[in-house]
Amino acid sequence: MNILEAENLNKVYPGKVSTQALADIHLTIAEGEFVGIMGPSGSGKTTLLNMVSTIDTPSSGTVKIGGQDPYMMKRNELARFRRRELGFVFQDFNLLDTLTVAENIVLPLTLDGVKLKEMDERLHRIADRLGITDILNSRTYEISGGQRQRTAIARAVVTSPSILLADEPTGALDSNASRIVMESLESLNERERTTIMLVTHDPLAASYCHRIVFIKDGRLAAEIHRGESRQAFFQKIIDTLSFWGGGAHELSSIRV
Amino acid sequence: MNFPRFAYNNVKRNARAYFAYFLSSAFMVMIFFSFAVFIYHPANDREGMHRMAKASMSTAEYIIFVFAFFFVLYSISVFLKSRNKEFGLLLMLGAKPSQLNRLVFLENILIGAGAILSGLAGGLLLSKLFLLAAAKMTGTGELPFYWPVEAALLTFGAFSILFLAISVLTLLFVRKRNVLELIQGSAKPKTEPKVSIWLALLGVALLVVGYLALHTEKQDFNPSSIFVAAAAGIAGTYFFYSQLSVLFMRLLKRRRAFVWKRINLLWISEMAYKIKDNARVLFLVTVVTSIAAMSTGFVVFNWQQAKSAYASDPYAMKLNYYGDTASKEAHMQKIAEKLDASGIDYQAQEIAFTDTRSTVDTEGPYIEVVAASDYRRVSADWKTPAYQAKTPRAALLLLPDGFVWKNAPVVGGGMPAESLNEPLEIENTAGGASFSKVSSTPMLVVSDETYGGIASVRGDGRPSITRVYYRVPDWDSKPYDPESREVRLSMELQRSIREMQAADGTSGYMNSRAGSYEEGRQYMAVFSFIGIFIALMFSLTSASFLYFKLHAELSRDAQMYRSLSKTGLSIGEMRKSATLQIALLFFIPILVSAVQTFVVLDPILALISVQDISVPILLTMGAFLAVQAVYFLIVQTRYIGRLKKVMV
Repeated sequence: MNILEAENLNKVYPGKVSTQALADIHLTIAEGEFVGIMGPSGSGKTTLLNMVSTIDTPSSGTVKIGGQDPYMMKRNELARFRRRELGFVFQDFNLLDTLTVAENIVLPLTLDGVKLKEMDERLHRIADRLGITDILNSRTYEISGGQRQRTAIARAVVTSPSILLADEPTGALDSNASRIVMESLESLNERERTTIMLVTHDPLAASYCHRIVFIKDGRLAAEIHRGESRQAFFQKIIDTLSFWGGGAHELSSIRV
Repeated sequence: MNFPRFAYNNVKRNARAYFAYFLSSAFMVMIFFSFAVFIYHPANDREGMHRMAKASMSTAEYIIFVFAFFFVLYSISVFLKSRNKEFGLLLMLGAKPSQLNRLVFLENILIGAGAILSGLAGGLLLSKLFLLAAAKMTGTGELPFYWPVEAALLTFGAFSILFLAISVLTLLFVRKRNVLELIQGSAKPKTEPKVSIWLALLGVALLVVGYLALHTEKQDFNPSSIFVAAAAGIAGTYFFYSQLSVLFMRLLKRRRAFVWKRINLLWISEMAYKIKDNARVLFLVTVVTSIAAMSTGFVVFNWQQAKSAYASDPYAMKLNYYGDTASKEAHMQKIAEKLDASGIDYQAQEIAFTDTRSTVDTEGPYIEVVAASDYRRVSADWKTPAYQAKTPRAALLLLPDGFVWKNAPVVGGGMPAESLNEPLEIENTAGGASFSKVSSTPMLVVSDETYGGIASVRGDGRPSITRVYYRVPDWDSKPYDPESREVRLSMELQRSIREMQAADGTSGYMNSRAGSYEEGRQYMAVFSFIGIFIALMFSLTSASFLYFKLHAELSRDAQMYRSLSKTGLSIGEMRKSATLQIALLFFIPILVSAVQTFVVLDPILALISVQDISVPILLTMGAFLAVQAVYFLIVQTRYIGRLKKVMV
């Protein structure tokens, strides 16, 4: 079953010089898939993510998430849809300083009016899965970047959304924290069968995906699938990036 | 583009950001100017009544100026903080710190000049209204509009100095020279509001002390207990906001069944920060509102007293002489002429008094003494029991209502008195409303023999007292009416006899119940006019502080709500959460001060009928509530409007 079906997506930003940010995008993500979106800066990755996150409307084309068209919904309905069907992970975490880790995680559940007992169950299950049980009562400024991002992931999946949308989740993290966060996402995908769409610059982070879609200048440029070895997949990503990113010399195949 | 030009453009093109600061400054100028217009009004020199109003207004003017100073200083510090990013950028582009100082200084001068000019213009419009209200409330005839040149000059001068001084002071605010800090500014996370259990306990203790100071000794409002109550209450209120509220929020958060429910989690956790951040402002609003409401209570209380004094005073006029009675005949002649000319029937009673005091109770008051034969003539008027001394040393003790006398003699007890060999035997005591209006000191009714004894032996130079009581049956038991013949005649007589007394140098005075009432009324009118005006202004400006604070934090809140909206917070939920927080900030102080006022006035409420005093206090509270509500609506609409834009 397909969780995400984007067909014929176009996005034009009007203005004195109108910009075609996306052109003829077709993208399907099946349930339980872990898909990466890559491309150089300004390629339209974030625009695509915004369409899928229902934050921005496409100029033409359709987006269906779990069979529903979010652009036909009223604002309140849409808010509820986002809360229940979509999970978000941002580069800068977007956690509330005024709340503890536990409170941050259950916030979407409280808004939805879930019972306290069920909230507690879900909170402890997800915290356990992501290894953040010890810090549940800490404040967000007392924990490391990796822990913050795992908190954000916990918040995103605590509602059991149809799809988890991650926008450069490793962008503000060091390599060790990045690894832990990507492994967390991978394990969520494997064990909970969470569908994930990951937008990233980082080839190493992208190498955790099953499939990577490359976008350049608003168009789909390439698509590669992961085989058995993550190492080989990483190499393939680098090659594809350097092929589509311009001359092969622009990108080093060795990650510094 | 030279430097002043840059500063000018900065202000002109950034009008939105400067607007709040500009507006609050202009508002202060306007209020100050309106007061000055009244003070310098040409009519003030002519009429006597205005002189008192003028003095009170001048005092108010000083208060406004001091308040304006702090207000403008506070607004600019908040305003400058919101521009840290801009300063960081300028420094990064290589602006010298001295140039930055010059920029801020120039901007300040520009805004100050603008605020003074628009404040004067607005004040000119407002002053017409102000003069009307002042005349109406102080009951002093209409004050015509005039061109207030002096007032304008005073305002211009005072505020030029104020803005110059503040411009210099602001240089202290921009001292933080670390570019990174300036650019990141408020990006740093806010740490959890701290609360000290000891300070919280101290707050509770202070509030309890304040309460006990007022409520342990009923009836007895001695100045020290009132002072203790006020100091403890005010300090306790501060701790209430800075510590107790945070503690309360923290305890509340433990009740997860309530907090983890819908938007509660969101607003309750934000609220703890907002209260702590605004503790000083909330405290200020509370104290100002409480003081205004309590003053209203006291004014109304006095008002009731004056009314009941007028109703229960049996005498229309009284003449009082201490010692020398040489001019008495002339004064009585004057009154007789006036009353006879108007064809008014009256009775005059002349009574002689002397005084004494207890020889054992040296702390006790002087007690006036009247002879039984004299007393017989007035006891019906005073509504006190007729009295015939059974023994030469027997006495009747009359006490005015509410007179505080710790060791007052008891019925059946003896009272050794000065200039008497044997102690007086107190046979009975009496009092009552009418007597309380006739005399403000206790009185002993003794046999003529004893009276003679006291009067003749007293050799310490204390003069004997002579009073002439005028009773006008036609005027009695009617409510006060400023147009009545009594008021007109009493006022005329009071004025002319006071003139005579000033000329002949008699030590004594004439008073009339209508005159006392009228003086009290005017005094209270001026007092409440100025009081309410200043209190409203204080609460308005304090509300502006809240607005500034909220405005300064808007960008942080906007960011938060934006990311929440991405994850599915609906506009309705945002509105609920934000409105609740703003509403609490605006209305908690009113609620707290309402509670405070009624707790403080409770002893008074016990004395007089509750409804009489509760209604005016509730009206005052209502006025504050209305002002806050209007302000709240404006702030809430703007705030939600801005947040709505960031919702996706």
